[in-house]
Amino acid sequence: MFSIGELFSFEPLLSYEILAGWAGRDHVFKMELFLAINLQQIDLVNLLECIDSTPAGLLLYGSSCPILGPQVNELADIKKVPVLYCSSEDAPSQIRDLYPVIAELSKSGKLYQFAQNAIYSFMRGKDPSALCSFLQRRLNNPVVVFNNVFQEIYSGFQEENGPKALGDRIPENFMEYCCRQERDQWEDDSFAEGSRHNILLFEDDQKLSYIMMPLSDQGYRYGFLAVFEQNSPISTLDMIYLESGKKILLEQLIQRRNLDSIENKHKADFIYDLLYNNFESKQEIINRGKYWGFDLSSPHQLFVLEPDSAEETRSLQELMDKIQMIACDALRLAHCQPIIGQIQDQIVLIIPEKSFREHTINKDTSFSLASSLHKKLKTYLPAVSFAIGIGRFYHSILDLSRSFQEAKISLELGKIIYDKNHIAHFEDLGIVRLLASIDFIQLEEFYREYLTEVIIYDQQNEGNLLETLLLYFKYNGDVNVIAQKMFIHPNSLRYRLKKIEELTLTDLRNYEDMLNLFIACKIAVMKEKFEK
Amino acid sequence: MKIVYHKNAITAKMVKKKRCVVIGKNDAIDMPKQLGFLIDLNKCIGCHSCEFACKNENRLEEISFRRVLDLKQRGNVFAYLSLACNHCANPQCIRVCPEKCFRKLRNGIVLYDYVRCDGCQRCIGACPFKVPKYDPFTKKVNKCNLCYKRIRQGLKPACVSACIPEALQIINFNEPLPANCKKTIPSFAFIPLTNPSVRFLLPKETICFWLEDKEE
Repeated sequence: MFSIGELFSFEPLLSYEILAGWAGRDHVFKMELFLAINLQQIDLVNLLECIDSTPAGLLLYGSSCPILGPQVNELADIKKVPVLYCSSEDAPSQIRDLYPVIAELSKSGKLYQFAQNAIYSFMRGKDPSALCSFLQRRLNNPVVVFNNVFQEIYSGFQEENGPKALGDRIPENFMEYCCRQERDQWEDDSFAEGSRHNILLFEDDQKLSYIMMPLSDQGYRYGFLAVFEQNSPISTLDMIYLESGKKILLEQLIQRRNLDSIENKHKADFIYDLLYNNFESKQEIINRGKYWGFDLSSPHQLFVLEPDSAEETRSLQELMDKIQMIACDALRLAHCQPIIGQIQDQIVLIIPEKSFREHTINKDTSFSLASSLHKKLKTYLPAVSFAIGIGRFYHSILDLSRSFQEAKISLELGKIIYDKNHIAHFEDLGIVRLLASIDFIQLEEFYREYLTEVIIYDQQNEGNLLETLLLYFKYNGDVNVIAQKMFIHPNSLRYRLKKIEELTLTDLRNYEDMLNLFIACKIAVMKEKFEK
Repeated sequence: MKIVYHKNAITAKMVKKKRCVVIGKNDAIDMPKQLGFLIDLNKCIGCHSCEFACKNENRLEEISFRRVLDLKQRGNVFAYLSLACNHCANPQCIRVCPEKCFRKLRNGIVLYDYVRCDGCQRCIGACPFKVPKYDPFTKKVNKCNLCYKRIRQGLKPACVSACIPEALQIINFNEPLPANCKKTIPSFAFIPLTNPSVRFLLPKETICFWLEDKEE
């Protein structure tokens, strides 16, 4: 006793084309009920009659592949009668020959073991798209290959065959949903690299379960093989197909990554030369850019992005690859065609002027684009902190090296001024930009001159005068707001400010005193962050 | 169409966070070089050989790219520090030069193009280490190029070759660095701005046997 699906998992029957009714593949195969029809001897009406008589299955053979039409397909699907096609005239005899062998294997319980070998050798050598199409037909369910940030890279749907990838069943935010789920599962140690059975729940309470199989090798995740249980549940035999498909896909993805890494190495060298002023002229940059498909004749805006990977993922390179893919996707949605490169542990994004709103780049437009990118990255990689540095915009492509250095300074000094997840524009750095270029001993001297008494007072009395002063400058001297933030009465705050004035021998209403104290506070913050 | 996050889809709550970071095999190969100096303050005896070797190599008369400083503590010299260009990761000279005289090679060397320079001296002001030097004779700025021609030939820079006690070494910052080396020393500029390619091996604390007696 074995099913139609099991019989057709062996060579040469594996190469038979499934035309319709594959939902009936689990029906027990009966030789006497299986119809083999020569295409030259039958017309459409007879075919409908044949299907209507609910045979175990229907094999069409003959030199040319038939176009059955919707009527036949529909009937075969309703009646769950598998309709297969083979061009060889020997097809019926092939089935007859294989039947006793499969029956024997089924009896001895070794059917799946042999089927696995047959399926693997048959699928080997197929390219990923063809493999997905084959798996989709065999599993009677949509099959999609995602990259490691859940962007679809291959699917079993051929565009000319109608709806692309599950039609509108894969929701727009599926990528975000999967990333969130992956993080939950990754945080759980008990969840290994095995396949995961998940359920998608739609707003209309409809459910769609799917299996997500990670494609990983040596700690690097290349992507996922997913099958959605849209038409029929996944059987043991389907899992054999999937396991074999997974192995072959992984081999191909590794090969592709190796090839890509060579290309990326040369691309990274070009970007390095561009950013470190290693070209002689503008024309040379434009000409060399053309080799990589970059239009460098127009001005560009530059961002530098740095992740803090301490919290996340196994491989730093995997994280960097993920960020590049997400950034590329996010900017493409914003109609940008960015040049993305990795320089050490930072990612450089070079965005053409024409990608910006109304084709104008200023501090606001750059900042809003960086914010949307930051938001997108945080959605997909919530455990990772991202800092973005923005350089000034220059009209000449030759000044990209200058913009790059400015973006890097913004990033580094942003770590001192802001929190971990910051976006810093070079023009917003203010006085810190100047302070950073002064010898630290001199800075410390200045800071001690003004704040030593305050610090000593705080240490001796367990006070928080320094914190009060920092908040005083942060909230522009608004006593009510500061008192609220510090959970104290405004009069207590006034007393503290008076005490600060006494200790530092300054007057907070005097601009010069205020400026000196402000700079001393900035240095205090810089010192604290730097020492950390 | 929006997704409602399904409770059953979450297999388990957060139990532990994985904190290991493994860099793949290919990563190390693909990394570019970043050459820089490792200065061992224990070994430097202040002989100025590096300074003279640099002057000789670059045929300098008025100026010197390398300088040896005395590090003092309580009025006494406790170490010597030999400094030249630090070939920073974020070179400020590249940012400010209007003539684009500076560029950074793929091995990390910040190279200076003497021909383009118009002597505006902006680079001197921008460099926190005041590395570029103005030559009053040529009326142009000049700076250490890490003897890139010698490096191309597989030789060490002149200063490193001339250092007899081997206090001055050239290292690749993208390879593992000595465990006890420090990024900065007290008299150094604020480093996060430029991220200089220099590391220090600090002098060990000297034991003054007679001090103990004196205290007693």
